[in-house]
Amino acid sequence: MSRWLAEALAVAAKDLRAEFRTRVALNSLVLFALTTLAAVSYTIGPYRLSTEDRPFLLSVLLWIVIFFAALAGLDRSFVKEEESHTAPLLRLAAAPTVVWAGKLLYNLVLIMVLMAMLVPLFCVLMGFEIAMPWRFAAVLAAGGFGLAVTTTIIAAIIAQAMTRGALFSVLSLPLLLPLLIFLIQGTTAAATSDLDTYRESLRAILSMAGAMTIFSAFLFPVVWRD
Amino acid sequence: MELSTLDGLHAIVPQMSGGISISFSDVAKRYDMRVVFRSISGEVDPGEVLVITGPNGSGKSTLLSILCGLLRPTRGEVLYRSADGGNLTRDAWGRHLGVVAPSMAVYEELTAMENLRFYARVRGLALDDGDHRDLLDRVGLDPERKTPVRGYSTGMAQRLKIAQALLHDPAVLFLDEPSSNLDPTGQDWLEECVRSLLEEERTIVLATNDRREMTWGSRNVSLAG
Repeated sequence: MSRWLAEALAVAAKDLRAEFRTRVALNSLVLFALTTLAAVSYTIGPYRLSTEDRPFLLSVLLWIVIFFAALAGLDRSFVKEEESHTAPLLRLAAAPTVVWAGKLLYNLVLIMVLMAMLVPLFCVLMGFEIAMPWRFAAVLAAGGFGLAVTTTIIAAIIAQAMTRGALFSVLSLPLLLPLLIFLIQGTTAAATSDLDTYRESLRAILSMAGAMTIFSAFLFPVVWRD
Repeated sequence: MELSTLDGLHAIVPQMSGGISISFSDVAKRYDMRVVFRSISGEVDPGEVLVITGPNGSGKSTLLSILCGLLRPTRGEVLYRSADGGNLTRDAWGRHLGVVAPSMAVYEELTAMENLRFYARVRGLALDDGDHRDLLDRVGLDPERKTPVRGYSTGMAQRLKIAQALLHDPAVLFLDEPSSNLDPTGQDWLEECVRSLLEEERTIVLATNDRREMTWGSRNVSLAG
């Protein structure tokens, strides 16, 4: 294992250990997701949507729940470092890209935990039938990575701001909206066995996530140090 | 628990030979319209302590943050020179310094051992738990204590911050009121530790208004209020 990767894993492991002891971000993510899911399943349920609209509307609802749950909890990674005054020592001890990769891994684990818990529950409660489960899983994985990489760099930016408040959501929305559209499209295609649309959507999702990864890797050292 | 000096740490961490000098010229800092200080210059060589003094709010901690590279000055420059005369880049510089300051905290959700393990891993140090136990023992903390740092007294947290700063046996040490919250035994140990580091040609920058700490200095920068 390369030294860079070992150091990034150390940052992620430290954050996960601290998170599983305090559960601040995890509670925000899970509570938001469960509350929204309960509200959606209670008001809409599995039978109120027409058969032809179901795949699309359920895909929209699924990604809305995941998206807003992510906004509720994924900004903590950097804000917490600044608020607890641990950021200066981390800046001195670790290379910026190590910190970025570690925080990205941490956010990725949180969002995967959220999805692992939420998606099966959503499918059962809403009666969401998926025609291509493995392709659906691939869209979820790519979407989770896209969400994690985008929210990580935005969290780093807003942690430096004096007034954080709603800044995370305000900055995330325009950056994540195109990704969200393709995630909904890809999920619908996976549910209806529309292979062409699925491939096109997955390609777009991976391209956006890849572009954001490269952009973040270059931007992060500037944000983190200055 | 008896406190001891850092003898033996060198066996754990490779040292930088020759030490590092810091020189700074015409350094100024302002936040929007508020001028913290104008045109500060000075230098410190290995084996010396640069003491930064001044009344509360005069910018001691700000100057310390600028000198250790955490804050950019509004004007002026800071140079770090190794023994061979070459200037160190910011990335290289970070590996050679240790900092203890009230504005910098360790992770309070983690135990002391977990904190040291984390800083060792992100610094790429090949240290094991035995080394960490040894260091915690040296700064007067119980290595077997399993409670997170959140449950520590301010003095114990200060000792852990000192352990963190010494973990990689740095060539340069930045200390901002290091004796604060330490009991008399801890203060005696810290003074002994600083003197032994000076004998080993380490460079120390100290921001303080403590009369005892001021006596450690060989150079002085006094900031006006």
